[in-house]
Amino acid sequence: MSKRASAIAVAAGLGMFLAASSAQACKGPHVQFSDDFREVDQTWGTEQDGDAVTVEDGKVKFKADPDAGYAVLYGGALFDDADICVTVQMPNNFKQGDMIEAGPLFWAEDHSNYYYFELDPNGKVALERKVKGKWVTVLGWRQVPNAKTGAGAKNVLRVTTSGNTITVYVNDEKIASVKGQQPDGGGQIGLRADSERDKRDTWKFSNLKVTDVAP
Amino acid sequence: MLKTIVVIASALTFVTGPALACKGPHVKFTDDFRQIDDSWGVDPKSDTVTVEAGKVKVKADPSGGYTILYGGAVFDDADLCVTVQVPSQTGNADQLAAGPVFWAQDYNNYYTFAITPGGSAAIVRRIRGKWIYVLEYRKADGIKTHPGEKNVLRVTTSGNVITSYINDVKFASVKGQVPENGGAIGLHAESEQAHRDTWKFIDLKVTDLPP
Repeated sequence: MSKRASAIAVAAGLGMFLAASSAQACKGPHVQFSDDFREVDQTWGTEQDGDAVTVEDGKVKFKADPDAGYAVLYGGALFDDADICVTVQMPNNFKQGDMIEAGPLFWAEDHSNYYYFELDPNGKVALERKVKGKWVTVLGWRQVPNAKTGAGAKNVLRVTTSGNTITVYVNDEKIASVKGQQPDGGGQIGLRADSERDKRDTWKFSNLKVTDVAP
Repeated sequence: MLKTIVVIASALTFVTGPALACKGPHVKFTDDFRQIDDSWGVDPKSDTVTVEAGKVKVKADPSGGYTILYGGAVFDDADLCVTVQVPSQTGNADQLAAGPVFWAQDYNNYYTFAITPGGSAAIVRRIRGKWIYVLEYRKADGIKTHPGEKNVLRVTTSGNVITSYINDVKFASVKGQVPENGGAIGLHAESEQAHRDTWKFIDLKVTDLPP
Protein backbone atom coordinates (compact mmCIF):
# COMPACT_ATOMS: atom_id res chain seq x y z
CA MET A 1 0.00 0.00 0.00
CA SER A 2 1.27 3.44 -0.79
CA LYS A 3 -0.74 5.08 1.93
CA ARG A 4 0.07 2.92 4.87
CA ALA A 5 1.37 -0.32 6.08
CA SER A 6 -0.81 -3.32 5.72
CA ALA A 7 -1.56 -6.37 7.74
CA ILE A 8 -2.78 -9.14 5.55
CA ALA A 9 -4.72 -12.18 6.42
CA VAL A 10 -7.29 -14.47 5.11
CA ALA A 11 -10.90 -13.84 5.73
CA ALA A 12 -14.57 -14.72 6.03
CA GLY A 13 -17.14 -16.77 4.24
CA LEU A 14 -18.45 -15.75 0.92
CA GLY A 15 -20.79 -17.15 -1.68
CA MET A 16 -20.80 -18.15 -5.26
CA PHE A 17 -23.77 -17.76 -7.51
CA LEU A 18 -24.24 -16.22 -10.87
CA ALA A 19 -24.43 -12.54 -10.22
CA ALA A 20 -26.98 -10.22 -11.70
CA SER A 21 -25.16 -8.24 -14.31
CA SER A 22 -24.89 -4.50 -14.07
CA ALA A 23 -24.73 -2.20 -17.05
CA GLN A 24 -21.37 -1.00 -15.84
CA ALA A 25 -19.98 -4.45 -15.19
CA CYS A 26 -17.77 -6.78 -17.16
CA LYS A 27 -18.33 -6.88 -20.90
CA GLY A 28 -17.11 -10.32 -21.92
CA PRO A 29 -19.71 -12.74 -23.28
CA HIS A 30 -18.70 -15.68 -21.08
CA VAL A 31 -18.87 -15.55 -17.30
CA GLN A 32 -15.86 -17.32 -15.80
CA PHE A 33 -16.65 -16.59 -12.19
CA SER A 34 -19.20 -14.69 -10.18
CA ASP A 35 -20.09 -14.27 -6.55
CA ASP A 36 -23.21 -12.56 -5.27
CA PHE A 37 -22.14 -13.09 -1.65
CA ARG A 38 -25.27 -14.83 -0.52
CA GLU A 39 -23.72 -18.15 0.43
CA VAL A 40 -20.50 -19.07 2.15
CA ASP A 41 -17.80 -20.33 -0.18
CA GLN A 42 -14.81 -21.62 1.75
CA THR A 43 -12.66 -21.24 -1.32
CA TRP A 44 -12.12 -17.68 -0.15
CA GLY A 45 -9.99 -19.19 2.61
CA THR A 46 -11.59 -17.20 5.32
CA GLU A 47 -10.93 -17.37 9.02
CA GLN A 48 -13.68 -19.02 10.99
CA ASP A 49 -13.20 -16.69 13.92
CA GLY A 50 -12.80 -12.97 13.67
CA ASP A 51 -15.02 -10.28 12.21
CA ALA A 52 -12.69 -8.75 9.62
CA VAL A 53 -14.82 -10.13 6.79
CA THR A 54 -18.51 -10.96 7.00
CA VAL A 55 -21.24 -11.64 4.47
CA GLU A 56 -24.65 -9.99 4.69
CA ASP A 57 -27.47 -9.48 2.18
CA GLY A 58 -25.41 -10.00 -0.91
CA LYS A 59 -22.53 -7.88 0.29
CA VAL A 60 -19.20 -8.79 1.76
CA LYS A 61 -18.11 -6.39 4.47
CA PHE A 62 -14.47 -5.72 5.24
CA LYS A 63 -13.35 -4.22 8.51
CA ALA A 64 -9.60 -4.01 8.52
CA ASP A 65 -7.83 -3.10 11.73
CA PRO A 66 -6.94 0.57 12.22
CA ASP A 67 -4.01 1.64 10.07
CA ALA A 68 -4.01 -1.68 8.25
CA GLY A 69 -5.34 -3.44 5.21
CA TYR A 70 -7.12 -6.74 4.84
CA ALA A 71 -7.07 -8.93 1.76
CA VAL A 72 -8.75 -12.14 0.70
CA LEU A 73 -7.81 -14.25 -2.30
CA TYR A 74 -10.04 -16.70 -4.13
CA GLY A 75 -8.19 -20.00 -4.36
CA GLY A 76 -10.49 -21.78 -6.74
CA ALA A 77 -9.34 -20.50 -10.10
CA LEU A 78 -6.62 -18.63 -11.92
CA PHE A 79 -7.24 -16.00 -14.56
CA ASP A 80 -4.99 -14.65 -17.29
CA ASP A 81 -6.88 -12.60 -19.90
CA ALA A 82 -10.00 -11.49 -18.08
CA ASP A 83 -12.54 -8.78 -17.38
CA ILE A 84 -13.02 -8.30 -13.62
CA CYS A 85 -15.66 -6.08 -12.09
CA VAL A 86 -16.99 -5.42 -8.61
CA THR A 87 -19.15 -2.80 -6.94
CA VAL A 88 -17.36 -1.03 -4.10
CA GLN A 89 -19.37 0.79 -1.44
CA MET A 90 -17.65 3.41 0.70
CA PRO A 91 -17.89 3.36 4.49
CA ASN A 92 -20.78 5.22 6.08
CA ASN A 93 -18.52 6.73 8.65
CA PHE A 94 -14.98 7.83 8.06
CA LYS A 95 -12.85 10.71 9.22
CA GLN A 96 -9.89 10.82 6.90
CA GLY A 97 -11.00 10.00 3.38
CA ASP A 98 -7.55 10.28 1.93
CA MET A 99 -6.25 7.57 4.21
CA ILE A 100 -8.53 4.73 3.22
CA GLU A 101 -9.21 2.81 0.06
CA ALA A 102 -10.55 -0.45 -1.28
CA GLY A 103 -10.84 -2.40 -4.50
CA PRO A 104 -10.24 -5.60 -6.41
CA LEU A 105 -7.03 -7.63 -6.50
CA PHE A 106 -5.85 -9.49 -9.58
CA TRP A 107 -2.85 -11.42 -10.88
CA ALA A 108 -2.25 -12.58 -7.32
CA GLU A 109 0.29 -15.30 -6.66
CA ASP A 110 -0.08 -15.16 -2.89
CA HIS A 111 -0.63 -12.58 -0.17
CA SER A 112 2.74 -10.98 -0.87
CA ASN A 113 2.42 -10.68 -4.64
CA TYR A 114 -0.58 -9.10 -6.34
CA TYR A 115 -2.02 -6.03 -8.09
CA TYR A 116 -4.49 -3.73 -6.32
CA PHE A 117 -6.85 -1.31 -8.13
CA GLU A 118 -8.00 0.97 -5.34
CA LEU A 119 -10.49 3.78 -4.86
CA ASP A 120 -10.66 6.27 -1.99
CA PRO A 121 -13.75 8.12 -0.69
CA ASN A 122 -12.67 11.33 -2.44
CA GLY A 123 -12.97 9.68 -5.83
CA LYS A 124 -9.30 9.11 -6.46
CA VAL A 125 -7.90 5.85 -7.80
CA ALA A 126 -4.51 4.23 -8.04
CA LEU A 127 -3.05 0.95 -9.23
CA GLU A 128 -0.43 -0.56 -7.02
CA ARG A 129 1.48 -3.76 -7.05
CA LYS A 130 2.74 -5.77 -4.11
CA VAL A 131 5.98 -7.54 -4.96
CA LYS A 132 7.50 -9.82 -2.37
CA GLY A 133 5.58 -7.90 0.27
CA LYS A 134 6.67 -4.44 -0.85
CA TRP A 135 4.48 -1.88 -2.60
CA VAL A 136 5.26 -0.52 -6.03
CA THR A 137 3.09 2.19 -7.60
CA VAL A 138 2.02 1.26 -11.12
CA LEU A 139 -0.37 4.18 -11.57
CA GLY A 140 -0.27 7.08 -9.11
CA TRP A 141 -3.33 8.54 -7.40
CA ARG A 142 -5.55 10.55 -9.71
CA GLN A 143 -9.00 12.10 -9.51
CA VAL A 144 -11.84 10.38 -11.35
CA PRO A 145 -14.42 13.00 -12.42
CA ASN A 146 -17.40 10.65 -12.54
CA ALA A 147 -16.66 8.81 -9.30
CA LYS A 148 -19.40 8.90 -6.69
CA THR A 149 -18.01 10.17 -3.44
CA GLY A 150 -19.01 10.38 0.17
CA ALA A 151 -20.46 8.09 2.78
CA GLY A 152 -22.07 4.94 1.35
CA ALA A 153 -21.38 5.85 -2.28
CA LYS A 154 -21.13 2.95 -4.73
CA ASN A 155 -18.79 2.71 -7.70
CA VAL A 156 -18.19 -0.10 -10.16
CA LEU A 157 -14.48 -0.82 -10.48
CA ARG A 158 -13.44 -2.81 -13.52
CA VAL A 159 -10.09 -4.21 -14.61
CA THR A 160 -9.37 -5.90 -17.91
CA THR A 161 -6.18 -7.85 -18.47
CA SER A 162 -5.05 -8.84 -21.92
CA GLY A 163 -1.54 -10.16 -22.32
CA ASN A 164 0.57 -7.81 -20.22
CA THR A 165 -1.84 -4.89 -20.60
CA ILE A 166 -4.02 -3.77 -17.71
CA THR A 167 -6.90 -1.37 -18.32
CA VAL A 168 -8.83 0.12 -15.41
CA TYR A 169 -12.29 1.69 -15.39
CA VAL A 170 -14.56 3.41 -12.88
CA ASN A 171 -18.28 3.43 -13.63
CA ASP A 172 -17.58 2.51 -17.24
CA GLU A 173 -15.12 5.35 -17.75
CA LYS A 174 -11.66 4.30 -18.84
CA ILE A 175 -9.05 5.66 -16.47
CA ALA A 176 -5.78 4.29 -17.82
CA SER A 177 -4.09 1.46 -19.63
CA VAL A 178 -0.74 0.30 -18.30
CA LYS A 179 1.68 -2.59 -18.68
CA GLY A 180 2.23 -5.23 -16.03
CA GLN A 181 3.74 -8.65 -15.45
CA GLN A 182 1.19 -11.40 -15.59
CA PRO A 183 2.08 -14.45 -13.48
CA ASP A 184 2.86 -17.54 -15.48
CA GLY A 185 -0.37 -19.47 -15.79
CA GLY A 186 -2.49 -16.55 -14.60
CA GLY A 187 -3.26 -15.28 -11.14
CA GLN A 188 -5.88 -15.31 -8.44
CA ILE A 189 -8.43 -12.58 -7.89
CA GLY A 190 -9.34 -11.08 -4.55
CA LEU A 191 -10.60 -8.11 -2.58
CA ARG A 192 -8.88 -5.69 -0.26
CA ALA A 193 -9.85 -2.81 2.00
CA ASP A 194 -7.84 -0.47 4.19
CA SER A 195 -8.80 1.38 7.34
CA GLU A 196 -7.68 4.77 8.57
CA ARG A 197 -5.26 5.29 11.40
CA ASP A 198 -7.61 5.46 14.36
CA LYS A 199 -10.59 3.28 13.52
CA ARG A 200 -11.86 0.30 11.60
CA ASP A 201 -13.65 1.38 8.46
CA THR A 202 -16.35 -0.81 6.90
CA TRP A 203 -16.08 -1.22 3.15
CA LYS A 204 -18.64 -3.30 1.26
CA PHE A 205 -18.29 -5.23 -1.98
CA SER A 206 -21.04 -6.68 -4.14
CA ASN A 207 -21.53 -8.34 -7.54
CA LEU A 208 -18.04 -9.62 -8.11
CA LYS A 209 -17.73 -11.09 -11.57
CA VAL A 210 -15.09 -12.24 -14.03
CA THR A 211 -15.76 -12.72 -17.73
CA ASP A 212 -13.52 -13.29 -20.67
CA VAL A 213 -12.36 -10.20 -22.49
CA ALA A 214 -14.94 -8.61 -24.77
CA PRO A 215 -14.20 -9.04 -28.48
CA MET B 1 1.83 -52.02 -5.26
CA LEU B 2 -1.23 -54.04 -5.88
CA LYS B 3 -3.99 -52.21 -7.48
CA THR B 4 -7.31 -53.30 -8.72
CA ILE B 5 -9.29 -51.30 -11.18
CA VAL B 6 -12.89 -52.18 -11.07
CA VAL B 7 -14.93 -49.96 -13.28
CA ILE B 8 -18.33 -51.02 -12.15
CA ALA B 9 -18.47 -53.37 -9.26
CA SER B 10 -20.83 -54.18 -6.52
CA ALA B 11 -20.24 -52.54 -3.17
CA LEU B 12 -21.09 -55.75 -1.41
CA THR B 13 -18.40 -57.53 -3.32
CA PHE B 14 -15.57 -55.09 -3.04
CA VAL B 15 -16.03 -52.66 -0.22
CA THR B 16 -13.90 -54.01 2.56
CA GLY B 17 -12.26 -50.81 3.71
CA PRO B 18 -12.71 -49.05 7.02
CA ALA B 19 -15.99 -47.43 7.92
CA LEU B 20 -14.40 -44.05 7.48
CA ALA B 21 -13.42 -44.63 3.87
CA CYS B 22 -15.03 -43.79 0.55
CA LYS B 23 -18.81 -43.97 0.41
CA GLY B 24 -19.60 -44.61 -3.24
CA PRO B 25 -21.18 -47.94 -4.17
CA HIS B 26 -18.83 -48.74 -7.04
CA VAL B 27 -15.12 -49.17 -6.53
CA LYS B 28 -13.09 -47.71 -9.38
CA PHE B 29 -9.62 -48.32 -8.00
CA THR B 30 -7.94 -49.83 -4.96
CA ASP B 31 -4.42 -50.48 -3.88
CA ASP B 32 -3.58 -52.41 -0.73
CA PHE B 33 0.15 -51.91 -1.32
CA ARG B 34 1.09 -55.56 -1.05
CA GLN B 35 2.67 -55.83 -4.48
CA ILE B 36 4.51 -53.43 -6.70
CA ASP B 37 2.38 -51.87 -9.42
CA ASP B 38 4.60 -50.28 -12.02
CA SER B 39 1.80 -47.88 -12.91
CA TRP B 40 3.00 -45.82 -9.97
CA GLY B 41 6.24 -45.09 -11.78
CA VAL B 42 8.35 -45.63 -8.70
CA ASP B 43 12.11 -45.74 -9.15
CA PRO B 44 13.15 -49.16 -7.77
CA LYS B 45 16.69 -47.94 -7.19
CA SER B 46 15.63 -45.16 -4.87
CA ASP B 47 14.69 -45.54 -1.22
CA THR B 48 12.30 -42.58 -1.31
CA VAL B 49 9.27 -44.79 -1.92
CA THR B 50 9.10 -48.34 -0.69
CA VAL B 51 6.33 -50.85 -0.17
CA GLU B 52 6.15 -53.00 2.90
CA ALA B 53 3.43 -55.06 4.52
CA GLY B 54 0.52 -53.28 2.94
CA LYS B 55 1.95 -49.81 3.41
CA VAL B 56 3.71 -47.50 1.04
CA LYS B 57 6.41 -45.51 2.78
CA VAL B 58 7.46 -42.13 1.42
CA LYS B 59 10.65 -40.51 2.70
CA ALA B 60 11.09 -37.11 1.10
CA ASP B 61 14.40 -35.31 1.44
CA PRO B 62 14.72 -32.77 4.27
CA SER B 63 12.80 -29.58 3.46
CA GLY B 64 11.47 -31.31 0.39
CA GLY B 65 8.34 -32.95 -0.88
CA TYR B 66 7.81 -36.07 -2.93
CA THR B 67 4.86 -36.92 -5.12
CA ILE B 68 3.95 -40.12 -6.88
CA LEU B 69 1.19 -40.32 -9.43
CA TYR B 70 -0.75 -43.34 -10.56
CA GLY B 71 -0.65 -43.51 -14.33
CA GLY B 72 -3.24 -46.20 -14.81
CA ALA B 73 -6.44 -44.19 -14.73
CA VAL B 74 -7.91 -40.72 -14.58
CA PHE B 75 -10.89 -39.67 -12.53
CA ASP B 76 -13.35 -36.76 -12.64
CA ASP B 77 -16.26 -37.12 -10.23
CA ALA B 78 -14.93 -39.45 -7.57
CA ASP B 79 -14.63 -40.34 -3.90
CA LEU B 80 -10.97 -40.84 -2.94
CA CYS B 81 -9.78 -42.09 0.42
CA VAL B 82 -6.52 -43.18 1.95
CA THR B 83 -5.19 -43.84 5.43
CA VAL B 84 -2.23 -41.66 6.31
CA GLN B 85 0.02 -42.69 9.19
CA VAL B 86 1.87 -39.98 11.11
CA PRO B 87 5.66 -40.52 11.19
CA SER B 88 6.98 -42.23 14.28
CA GLN B 89 9.58 -39.56 14.81
CA THR B 90 9.14 -35.90 14.03
CA GLY B 91 10.79 -32.71 15.16
CA ASN B 92 8.79 -29.70 14.09
CA ALA B 93 5.26 -30.99 13.61
CA ASP B 94 4.18 -28.06 11.46
CA GLN B 95 6.95 -28.45 8.91
CA LEU B 96 5.84 -31.76 7.44
CA ALA B 97 2.67 -32.78 5.72
CA ALA B 98 1.17 -35.56 3.65
CA GLY B 99 -1.99 -36.58 1.89
CA PRO B 100 -3.63 -37.71 -1.31
CA VAL B 101 -3.17 -36.09 -4.70
CA PHE B 102 -6.05 -35.64 -7.14
CA TRP B 103 -6.87 -33.91 -10.43
CA ALA B 104 -3.26 -34.37 -11.47
CA GLN B 105 -2.23 -33.64 -15.04
CA ASP B 106 1.45 -34.20 -14.41
CA TYR B 107 4.02 -33.61 -11.66
CA ASN B 108 3.74 -29.86 -12.05
CA ASN B 109 -0.04 -29.63 -12.07
CA TYR B 110 -2.18 -31.25 -9.38
CA TYR B 111 -4.13 -30.74 -6.15
CA THR B 112 -3.30 -32.22 -2.78
CA PHE B 113 -5.19 -32.41 0.49
CA ALA B 114 -2.58 -32.56 3.24
CA ILE B 115 -2.44 -32.79 7.01
CA THR B 116 0.36 -32.05 9.45
CA PRO B 117 1.22 -33.75 12.75
CA GLY B 118 0.57 -30.34 14.25
CA GLY B 119 -3.15 -30.84 13.61
CA SER B 120 -3.58 -28.58 10.58
CA ALA B 121 -4.85 -29.29 7.10
CA ALA B 122 -4.86 -27.49 3.77
CA ILE B 123 -5.84 -27.88 0.14
CA VAL B 124 -2.99 -26.84 -2.09
CA ARG B 125 -2.68 -26.67 -5.84
CA ARG B 126 0.48 -27.05 -7.85
CA ILE B 127 0.22 -25.23 -11.14
CA ARG B 128 3.07 -25.02 -13.61
CA GLY B 129 5.42 -26.03 -10.84
CA LYS B 130 4.32 -23.36 -8.37
CA TRP B 131 2.24 -23.84 -5.25
CA ILE B 132 -0.90 -21.85 -4.56
CA TYR B 133 -3.22 -22.31 -1.64
CA VAL B 134 -6.78 -23.19 -2.45
CA LEU B 135 -7.35 -23.27 1.30
CA GLU B 136 -4.46 -22.30 3.57
CA TYR B 137 -3.35 -24.44 6.49
CA ARG B 138 -5.76 -24.21 9.38
CA LYS B 139 -6.44 -26.19 12.51
CA ALA B 140 -8.72 -29.13 11.84
CA ASP B 141 -10.77 -30.98 14.39
CA GLY B 142 -10.20 -34.66 14.72
CA ILE B 143 -6.70 -35.09 13.34
CA LYS B 144 -4.81 -37.74 15.26
CA THR B 145 -1.42 -36.19 15.78
CA HIS B 146 0.60 -38.62 17.83
CA PRO B 147 3.47 -40.56 16.26
CA GLY B 148 2.23 -43.62 14.41
CA GLU B 149 -1.44 -42.65 14.58
CA LYS B 150 -3.58 -43.10 11.50
CA ASN B 151 -5.97 -40.68 9.83
CA VAL B 152 -8.36 -41.46 7.02
CA LEU B 153 -8.30 -38.62 4.51
CA ARG B 154 -11.11 -38.46 2.01
CA VAL B 155 -11.70 -36.17 -0.93
CA THR B 156 -14.81 -36.08 -3.06
CA THR B 157 -14.85 -34.22 -6.35
CA SER B 158 -18.13 -33.38 -8.03
CA GLY B 159 -17.99 -31.00 -10.95
CA ASN B 160 -15.67 -28.25 -9.79
CA VAL B 161 -16.43 -28.78 -6.09
CA ILE B 162 -13.86 -30.39 -3.82
CA THR B 163 -15.00 -31.61 -0.42
CA SER B 164 -12.47 -32.90 2.09
CA TYR B 165 -12.89 -35.00 5.21
CA ILE B 166 -10.64 -36.14 8.03
CA ASN B 167 -11.75 -39.27 9.84
CA ASP B 168 -15.25 -38.76 8.50
CA VAL B 169 -15.45 -35.18 9.77
CA LYS B 170 -15.94 -32.63 6.99
CA PHE B 171 -13.00 -30.27 6.78
CA ALA B 172 -13.90 -27.92 3.92
CA SER B 173 -15.69 -27.61 0.62
CA VAL B 174 -14.03 -25.45 -2.00
CA LYS B 175 -14.08 -24.79 -5.72
CA GLY B 176 -11.39 -25.84 -8.14
CA GLN B 177 -10.64 -26.33 -11.80
CA VAL B 178 -11.01 -29.96 -12.84
CA PRO B 179 -8.73 -30.95 -15.71
CA GLU B 180 -10.51 -31.72 -18.93
CA ASN B 181 -11.38 -35.44 -18.93
CA GLY B 182 -10.36 -35.79 -15.29
CA GLY B 183 -7.05 -36.18 -13.54
CA ALA B 184 -4.75 -38.76 -12.02
CA ILE B 185 -4.50 -39.57 -8.35
CA GLY B 186 -1.41 -39.93 -6.25
CA LEU B 187 0.29 -39.44 -2.92
CA HIS B 188 2.33 -36.56 -1.60
CA ALA B 189 4.58 -36.33 1.46
CA GLU B 190 6.84 -33.61 2.82
CA SER B 191 9.70 -33.76 5.29
CA GLU B 192 10.72 -31.17 7.83
CA GLN B 193 13.87 -29.11 7.62
CA ALA B 194 16.18 -31.24 9.67
CA HIS B 195 15.57 -34.80 8.53
CA ARG B 196 13.71 -37.23 6.30
CA ASP B 197 10.32 -38.04 7.76
CA THR B 198 8.68 -41.35 6.95
CA TRP B 199 5.02 -41.06 6.03
CA LYS B 200 3.03 -44.23 5.44
CA PHE B 201 -0.07 -44.64 3.28
CA ILE B 202 -2.53 -47.53 3.56
CA ASP B 203 -5.71 -48.65 1.80
CA LEU B 204 -5.96 -46.26 -1.09
CA LYS B 205 -9.32 -46.43 -2.77
CA VAL B 206 -11.45 -44.56 -5.28
CA THR B 207 -15.18 -45.07 -5.67
CA ASP B 208 -17.83 -43.18 -7.53
CA LEU B 209 -19.79 -40.64 -5.54
CA PRO B 210 -22.40 -41.83 -3.08
CA PRO B 211 -25.96 -41.27 -4.24
